[in-house]
Amino acid sequence: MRPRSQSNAAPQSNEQPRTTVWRFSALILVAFLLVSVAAFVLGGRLEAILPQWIMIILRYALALSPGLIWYLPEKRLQDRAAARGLERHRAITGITFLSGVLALGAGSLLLDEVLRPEDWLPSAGGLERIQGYTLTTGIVEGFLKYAVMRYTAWPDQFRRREDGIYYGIAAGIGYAVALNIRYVLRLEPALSAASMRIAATTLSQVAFGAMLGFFLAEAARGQRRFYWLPGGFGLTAFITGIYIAFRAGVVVSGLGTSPIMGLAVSTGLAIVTFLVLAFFINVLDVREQGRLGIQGERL
Amino acid sequence: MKRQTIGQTPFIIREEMPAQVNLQNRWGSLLVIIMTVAGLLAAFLLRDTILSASIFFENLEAGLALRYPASWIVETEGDFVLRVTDPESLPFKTTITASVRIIGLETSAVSVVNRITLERSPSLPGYDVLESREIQTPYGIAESVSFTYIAIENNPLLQSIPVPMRGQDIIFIKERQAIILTYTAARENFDPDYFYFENMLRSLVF
Repeated sequence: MRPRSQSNAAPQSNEQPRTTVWRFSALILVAFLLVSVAAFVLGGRLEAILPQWIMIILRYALALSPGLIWYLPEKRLQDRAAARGLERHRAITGITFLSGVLALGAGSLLLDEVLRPEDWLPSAGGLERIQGYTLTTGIVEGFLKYAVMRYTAWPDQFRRREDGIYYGIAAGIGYAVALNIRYVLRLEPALSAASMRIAATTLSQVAFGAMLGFFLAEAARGQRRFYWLPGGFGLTAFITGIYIAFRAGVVVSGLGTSPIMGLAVSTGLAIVTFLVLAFFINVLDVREQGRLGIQGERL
Repeated sequence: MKRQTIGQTPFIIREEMPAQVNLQNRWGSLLVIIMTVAGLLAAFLLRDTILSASIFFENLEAGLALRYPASWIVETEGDFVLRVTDPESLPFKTTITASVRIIGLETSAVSVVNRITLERSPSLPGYDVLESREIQTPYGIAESVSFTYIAIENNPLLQSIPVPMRGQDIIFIKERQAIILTYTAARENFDPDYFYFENMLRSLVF
């Protein structure tokens, strides 16, 4: 943090500005959403004029698109930060990659082979679905993303609360890319249908990753009690359970299916999550400044 | 994080904020792992609870009561006491049927098996008895018959490939009644869905 009145004697922070983290994350998500909507609108027309092998490439490109849209600008951002003498966010690529590997390995094994919630939860009642998805998908996906951040970059790289959001997005994108690739491999869906599903998966994974990142970043400040991390982990798993049960009800309702409604629910989840996290980060920062008697300008 | 003042201006030196893996965080991390393990165990329990959720059925006229899977479709009109069908099973519906036949005082379970075989052979393509043997049940000795057949969709509007089916009859003889519990499922669903049949068998009272 730098003081309100500039002084040559005051040391300058070498961290990237907070606004950069938020703006960059928002831009990446909006760019990805635009790519998905474009694929949805143009998918049907492209299927009619392009050969099958190109459509297969496009499907895989779409599945990988969250990672590509995130990785290249992120690397550029970090290089520019380094060139300006600011500190890099380290291990971002590793966290993204590891999260994807764990999703395809442990996540896929537990959810698709052992627990198989899709075999027994869709026909259950509403409360049982929420319970079931919390205890299966919520716990498994949440723990894998949490573990990737907790046992790699945490706590050294979680110096500010925004860092948690940033690393959470990285873990979420890695996990989402893995789920997207598995989805395209298994079902070979049409481009339009794939675009909605891929967008919904990515936005929700990013939102849940950011939630976990927030709780980890707050814990890294060393002022929280022992129940903070399990509480945040449990809350994220519970919201995951509610989201899956609610989204399934919205997508498959009435006589037909509505993938656009599914995307709307996921977009809503992501927007609300980021607004709530931004609000809490702001409140916590202001409180901390007040406690320390600082009236300086926030970075 | 450390507060310092240079001149009149307070500021925080962030570079000095230490990495906080304190005791509270260590306990928190351990609790997350415990929560994950406990959550997965609870998921298995919930799955068993949902899958074995059942509804009580009683037919006083036939003198038969049992519990059937809660999410299955029920039929009671026909030449059976109860027929329940899993609406989600593919490629062919898994079905459990309970029926009662009046028999002579000297009629044995083997005779009932032969009678059933004669009835099914013309109506079920490829009907073949794999095994017929006596088994011990809570109600005494019963006859178990394993069989196979081919399920063919009769509706010409619903084109489908014939499905190999497996089935099992459990036949109890009680005085002048033969109580027959029949389980049929597509070959690939026979073993995974068998616990429904076992649960129903365990709940049977006559």
